Amino acid sequence: MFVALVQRWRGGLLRVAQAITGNASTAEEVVQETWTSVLRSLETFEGRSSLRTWVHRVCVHVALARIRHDERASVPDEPVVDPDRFDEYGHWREPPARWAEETPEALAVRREVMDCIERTVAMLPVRQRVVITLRDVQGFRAEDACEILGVTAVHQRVLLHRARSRVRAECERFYREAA
Amino acid sequence: MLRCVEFVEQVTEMEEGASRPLARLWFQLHRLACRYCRRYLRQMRAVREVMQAPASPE
Repeated sequence: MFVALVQRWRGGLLRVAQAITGNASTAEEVVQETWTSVLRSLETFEGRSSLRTWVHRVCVHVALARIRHDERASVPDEPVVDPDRFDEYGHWREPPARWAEETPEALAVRREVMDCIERTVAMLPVRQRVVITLRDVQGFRAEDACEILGVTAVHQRVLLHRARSRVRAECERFYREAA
Repeated sequence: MLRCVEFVEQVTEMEEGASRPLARLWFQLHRLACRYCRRYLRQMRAVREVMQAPASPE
């Protein structure tokens, strides 16, 4: 049973650990340490969330402990779109550029776009990177992401909004340059 | 009336169903009226969906 869980959740835990540490080999160590920690503290699991959510939360804590403190800064309070792109009435002066592909299916087959998305996610501030990995890559629910990260619903949403907006902005830059 | 500069800040809140009914109404009205914000929303949805990993047995 335990071995089956370790194998089944390995990929997801590695993705989360790598999103935080930015390093594949450190992520491997974090996942190993996560399971050690899970075994050590299993008796404290109260079943208030699913076991999967709890294990991912342990993984986030282990990974965050590995990185420098200054990388755990809070979200900057700045607009997600450059204010210069709007006129004095708050309407688009420089609207979003049209993309050659705008459906997920079409984007997915364009390797350069997927590379651009991957690079952008890797460069996001750590908590934004974790939230977008949990929510959009791994499909965790908002409540589970809050539980795993230990943040409020509003904070989780702000992190997610900034992360998604940044990815969209980089895709827009890619299409502008490709045009 | 909601402005474009406000629309782009509310996209995720709306997509997460976390907004109040009146705010939702203003958002939807703006979406209907502004093709650039519709494009912005479409692109935000596309990048979200394209990142989803293939379904795993987790």
